[in-house]
Amino acid sequence: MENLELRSNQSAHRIGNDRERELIFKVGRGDRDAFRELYLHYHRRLARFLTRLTRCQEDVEEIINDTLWIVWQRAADFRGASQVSTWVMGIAYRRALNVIRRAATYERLMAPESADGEAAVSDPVQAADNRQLLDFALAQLPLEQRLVLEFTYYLDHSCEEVAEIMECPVNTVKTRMFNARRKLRAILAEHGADWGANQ
Amino acid sequence: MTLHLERARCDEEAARLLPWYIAGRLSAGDVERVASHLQRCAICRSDAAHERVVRELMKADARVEYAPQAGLAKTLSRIDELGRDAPTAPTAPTAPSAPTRITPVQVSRRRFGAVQWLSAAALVQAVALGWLGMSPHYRPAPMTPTPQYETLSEDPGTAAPGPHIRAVFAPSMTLADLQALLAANRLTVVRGPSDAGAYTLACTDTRVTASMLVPTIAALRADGRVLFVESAVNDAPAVR
Repeated sequence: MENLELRSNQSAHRIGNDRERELIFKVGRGDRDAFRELYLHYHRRLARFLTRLTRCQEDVEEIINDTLWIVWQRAADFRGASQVSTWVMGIAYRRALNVIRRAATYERLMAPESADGEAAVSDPVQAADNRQLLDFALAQLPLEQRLVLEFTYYLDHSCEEVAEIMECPVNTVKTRMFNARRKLRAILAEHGADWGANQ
Repeated sequence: MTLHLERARCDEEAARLLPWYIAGRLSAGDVERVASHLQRCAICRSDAAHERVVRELMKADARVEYAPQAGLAKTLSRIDELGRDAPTAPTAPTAPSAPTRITPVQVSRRRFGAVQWLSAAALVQAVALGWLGMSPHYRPAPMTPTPQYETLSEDPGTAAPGPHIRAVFAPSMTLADLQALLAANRLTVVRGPSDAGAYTLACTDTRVTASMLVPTIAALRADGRVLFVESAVNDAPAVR
């Protein structure tokens, strides 16, 4: 039954990619309606995880708009060697890194007295639910580890696709994921959450 | 003791593949491997239960609604602008109207320094045009049918060879001071100022690598007249 669900997820992913290829092909020919559909589709996919990543709505909009702008300019050159979503996410990943690094540089310049490494999220004691606790724990992870979790759990990318998006070996993705899970579980356990205890 | 034995029997590769098993993004062979391992390993079953909760929580974050229409309208207007600009200025890069982080430094620059910068930019441009006009090596660039475009957050000067630097200078800095600073650091202006007030700089010695520019960046950072400086990486995405 479980395996059936997993296969169903794979199948849904393929159908999505076929539609996305069709849209990219049309966008490459200058079809604005296809671009509008693609924009709305990717806005939904990108907005939540970019908000968790940057915590700045203005940055999220900038990254999404820049990403889809590049998609518009380059759609005609897309040859389909990779999944459409992998290609678009790769562009978004590089845009996000640029914005995050620029923001970090700016914050360093403007607030030299602030404590390094201070968590962006408030004390988890004040957290009202598991989602807030998870947000707190995710914020403690190095950026690359957080991104591997987001790409896999939120955006449902395979290990190979994550490697392509982040331009690193598959083994690096597995190691980042392993370290992310270990660290995440330890942080959650410190705050009394053990979601694997009752399996 | 039991836990110890379980750990010793754990198939490490199956354990590493667990997140993609949970996400339903494994090949059939790997699905069988992980499923079979889970039947035997209590530690990995506990991990799987934990990871499912993490994934469900990450997926279920629906408390914030996003309104894409404003961003879509802005991007479509950029596309319209592209169509309008293309016939008249095919080789000129289009300055996009993407939203950007407006820093107090930039606000200050815009409020108090716009006139000085415009004057400085006009002077630099005039000198460059004069030099080009007199240069025996100068040939007008051929008109190309496809214009090149750039986004605000990427390095606009990636067409020039060698590593680049992006910098914002104090509005009080004179053109002569700027030229002296650039000459002292063997730098030249490749492009700028951008809408965000940044100049793209390159080393006059094209053999210089990015790592060789690190001391130059440090020297610029140490100069009080340089408000912002960073290395500019060519991160244009490859088309696959």
